[in-house]
Amino acid sequence: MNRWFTALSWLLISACGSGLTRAEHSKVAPFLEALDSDGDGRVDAKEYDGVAYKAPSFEQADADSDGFLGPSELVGMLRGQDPMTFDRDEQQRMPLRERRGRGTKAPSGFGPGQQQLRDVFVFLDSELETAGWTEALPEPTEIKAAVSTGDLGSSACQGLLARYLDAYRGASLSFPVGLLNTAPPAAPVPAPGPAP
Amino acid sequence: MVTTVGCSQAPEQPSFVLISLDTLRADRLGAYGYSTAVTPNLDAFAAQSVLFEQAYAQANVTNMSHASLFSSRYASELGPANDAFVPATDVPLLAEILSAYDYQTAAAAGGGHLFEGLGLDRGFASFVRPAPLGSLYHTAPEALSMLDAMDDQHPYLLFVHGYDTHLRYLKPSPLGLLHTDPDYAGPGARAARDPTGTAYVLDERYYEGVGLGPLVGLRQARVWGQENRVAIHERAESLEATTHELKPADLNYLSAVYDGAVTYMDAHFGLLMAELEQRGVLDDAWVVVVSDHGESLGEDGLFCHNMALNDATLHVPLIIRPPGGLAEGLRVPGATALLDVLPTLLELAQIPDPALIHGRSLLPALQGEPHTARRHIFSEGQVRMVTARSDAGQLTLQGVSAESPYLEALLAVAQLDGTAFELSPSDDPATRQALRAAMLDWRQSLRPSRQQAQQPTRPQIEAMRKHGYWSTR
Repeated sequence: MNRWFTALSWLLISACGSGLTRAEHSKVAPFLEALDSDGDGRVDAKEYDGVAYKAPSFEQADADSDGFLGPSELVGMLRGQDPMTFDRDEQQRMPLRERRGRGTKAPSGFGPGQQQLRDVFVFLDSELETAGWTEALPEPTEIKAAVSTGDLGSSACQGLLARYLDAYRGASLSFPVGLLNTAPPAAPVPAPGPAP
Repeated sequence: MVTTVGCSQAPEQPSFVLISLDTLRADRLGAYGYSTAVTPNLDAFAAQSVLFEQAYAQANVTNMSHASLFSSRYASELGPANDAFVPATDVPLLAEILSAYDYQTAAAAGGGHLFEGLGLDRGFASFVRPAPLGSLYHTAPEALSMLDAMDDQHPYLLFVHGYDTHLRYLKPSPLGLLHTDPDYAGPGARAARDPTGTAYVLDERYYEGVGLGPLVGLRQARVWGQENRVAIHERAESLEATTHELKPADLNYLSAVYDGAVTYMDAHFGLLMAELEQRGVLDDAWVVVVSDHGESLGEDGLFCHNMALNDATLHVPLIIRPPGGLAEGLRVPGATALLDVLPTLLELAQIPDPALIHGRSLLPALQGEPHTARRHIFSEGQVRMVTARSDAGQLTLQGVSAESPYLEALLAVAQLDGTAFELSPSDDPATRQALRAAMLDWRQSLRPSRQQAQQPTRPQIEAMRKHGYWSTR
């Protein structure tokens, strides 16, 4: 309470003759309060130096040379300083490669049950193309054969997916988690035979 | 609750000041409960306004999110999700609509993706971009000049935008280090001062000065999968980048410098409010404060915003102040989308909604009536990610964008083993299933523009490079 009273009193006094509007004072005064680490209602050189970065020196900021910063001096500093200019060369915005549309061919010859699996293969295929992968990938006929069962756990599908996984690893891409990590289907449990 | 909001009488068309504070996380503001925040001006503004506690952006990058904000459509309906996104011209944007109803329109933008000629300037009679990645320091004076040049006979839309809390976090003022440990002298100090420093922080490692196109390309291509993270680290090491392991003190420092940027923003926001108050604008106009996206500050090993779709990058402030303010601030719980801003402003202006929008007016909530929260919020990423969230959980898919023809197929595969492509699946199978179904419904609700994808022209690309936001194709 005492701290606030002191700060507000000082701010009221410092507002006189500053050329700032009351609204401007009210908007920046809390920041001086925040800078005022010892709570004496004023920002001195030590408090200022502890937080300043590329800001004017305390002497420059202290326009009236009274040894303390007030709201008008903070406003002047905020308004008079170019905050930042980015080095354009350091801007990092890499283009996303164009999808080359390999996956947009109209599918044909697949039954509706296999279409989703086939779409997944085509999707993965286009991903590798996007990454610039150049090694031979399974041909559509292989995909067609692999998905003919419509079962991700089939040996044909698993073999095909494994080839994709190798390709993804070679291209240093992250394969969508889970799909290729699917455990092979468990071997059928033989029906219990007659008790010995 | 007593408000000054009312539509029982036929009012004159109101004016609007739309302030977009780029890269501002809601949870770093005092008004949103951040106990160590020094954001007195935004907090005071919120106390006179209606604050939406759970507002979410529809994209995690500036161009796409502003496209949704201005159109009430998902960005993927307006064009391919990438760094050179240009919204389709057959989808009307806020300024175009208002200008058709005799509004005066002006924008002072911070540049970057908000660049004249890249589509998001459509409808603004005046659009200035005074500095590359400019803050309110740059744009607020321009906005005030535009405001002063407007006539008194017509309502107006004034758009003010600033990159105050965007990389680089450390701002050159006494406020930039306000929240940091003065004795700290670790690698986080260099990362905070580097214009793109935190872009090279991954998994608590800072690759100082790498400037690696391949590294960034990989990072943007697929940052989530552990294999890709390993590849990124190995690539950086092979290029002999200076590597710093970041300890908790380093990460805390970076987070504190971000808080300093928020405080810096708040100071300039306060000065802007003082100027608006002096001009009587706060008595006459609706003022909307929003952010287009948040920022990862170490969550899941990430910094920046375009690699994640989570609360850090999508939970944004949405604060609407009616003319004259409220006697008491009103807080509205429940999920809200930035899609809702456009129909809200249009209803206030008594202008019909354009076709196919996904937003709904928030006017009832502004009038103190119960707010019907959205059951699901959908958001898109620049790097081929989509997410659906509900109160029960969140489902995020990687490697596929909303417009991809494979979204349904990937969701179907995800159902086979329960984890494929899912980044943040709920533990509850029923919730997962509900989110998948919601995402499919959402996908089917999208109505992509029939236009061929808009692309920036070569001169536009060259101009963008000159102004520093990206290097593009």
